[in-house]
Amino acid sequence: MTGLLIKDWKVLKRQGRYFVVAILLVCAMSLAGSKNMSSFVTSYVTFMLSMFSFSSFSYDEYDNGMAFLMALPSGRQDYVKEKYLFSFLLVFGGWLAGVLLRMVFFQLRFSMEEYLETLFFDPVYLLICLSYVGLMLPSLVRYGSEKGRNIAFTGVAVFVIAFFAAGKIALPVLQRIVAPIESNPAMFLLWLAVACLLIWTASYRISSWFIQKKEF
Amino acid sequence: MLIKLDHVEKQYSGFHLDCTMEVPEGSVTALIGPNGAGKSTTFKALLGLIFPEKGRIELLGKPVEGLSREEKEDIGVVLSDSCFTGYLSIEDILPVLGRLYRKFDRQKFLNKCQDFGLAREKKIKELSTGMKAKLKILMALSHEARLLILDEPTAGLDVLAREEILDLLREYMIPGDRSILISSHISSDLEGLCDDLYLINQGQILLHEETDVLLGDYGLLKVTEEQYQTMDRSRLLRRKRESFGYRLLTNQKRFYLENAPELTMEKGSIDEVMTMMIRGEAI
Repeated sequence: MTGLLIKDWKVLKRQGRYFVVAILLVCAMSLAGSKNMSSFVTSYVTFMLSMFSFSSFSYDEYDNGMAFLMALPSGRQDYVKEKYLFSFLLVFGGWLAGVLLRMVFFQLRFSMEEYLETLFFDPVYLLICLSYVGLMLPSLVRYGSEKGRNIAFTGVAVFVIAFFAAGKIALPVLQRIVAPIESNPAMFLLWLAVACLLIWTASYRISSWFIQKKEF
Repeated sequence: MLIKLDHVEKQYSGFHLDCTMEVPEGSVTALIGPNGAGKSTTFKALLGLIFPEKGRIELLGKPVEGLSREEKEDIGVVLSDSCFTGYLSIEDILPVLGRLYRKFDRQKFLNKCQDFGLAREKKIKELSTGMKAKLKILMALSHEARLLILDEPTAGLDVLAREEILDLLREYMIPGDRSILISSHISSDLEGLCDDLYLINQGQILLHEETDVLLGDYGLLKVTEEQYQTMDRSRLLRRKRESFGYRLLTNQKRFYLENAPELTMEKGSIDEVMTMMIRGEAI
């Protein structure tokens, strides 16, 4: 698995330069703005890096490369393990970078006390981004980067639309979600973390099943 | 046996593979056939990339699905149209290979890359077809594999580069306990390298023969209609109608040379035998 991880890291290093430049530009613009804009940095960096974990599938598929990768000693299961680990490291790494940038920004322009007041949103971004990646990965494993991304986007969009469209059901549910944030943010974070963990566990199992059934 | 396929069957729309073949230790075996014959499907089945509906596949004496990670390191693979992503360079894949194969010989691999003129910093997608083919072979040879499975490894190479690759494969076979299964369109490569060959067409194995026997005992007869009607046809395998009469394939060239010296006999090359076995009518 380490070999595959190095492969993705090397691709990231080669192809990710433009990503990094784009991220840094947006970060600089955001940090030059208001206090509220700074929280955008964390979510933006985390989200952009999670995008790269999806792109790693298309790099693997370049020139029919999946067949070669599956013929390597690492095999199918290690491929899935590696993708999950790589995605986690990217999202977590991106989030950490975003948090550090925000901390530096507050240290320079405001104060750490003010940063701590907005601290709650950082782990929320991380858990939402991780959940999103967890939801996307099985379809990327099953259908490949192009088709998989479309299916996953459609699936997530349909879910969100259906959730909000069901007005009568959605409103009380939303109130139930928002209420604990105000009364007990820590509990909310805990529930979000549990949900994220469940999504990743189910996602990994589904991806493992898909890869074992897939032909190359 | 390092490779054993026992009635491996795979069904696609308009195509049915039914393949039985063996590659013993110390042997170079070729799988030949026209495009779409089932060569790549057979290789994919061997490597566990597709799942046959029937049959049994053994690699290194074990069912392919039961091979451990360590055992898989004993297999070197070249796929005709597949490699690491083209966005990586040779320099990038060094640590990857080092982690994938415990016996990866980094220095030897780099020396060979240098010998073949492969630039370390160049991305794979920037390499020419020939250079890419060389890189794939060098990767397969880089970790002391016991078995090489090579699907069209010399495709796109010029004569000199092909000879260099074939020399590497001959050198690889020196220890005596290694085997190669190779597919190639270039019959001259196979004639000088392989111990035996399988001919596949439309998913079926049509012929299995030792290369020496094929080159020594197979022959092509060119006969007129009258000669065809009167000759002994019991030792013929295939016939093909031509403007002058018939072209005939036999696996007993000597018999006809001794008993019918008046007939025109040509030496059977791999290409000729393949063409006759596929295009000719059975007798």
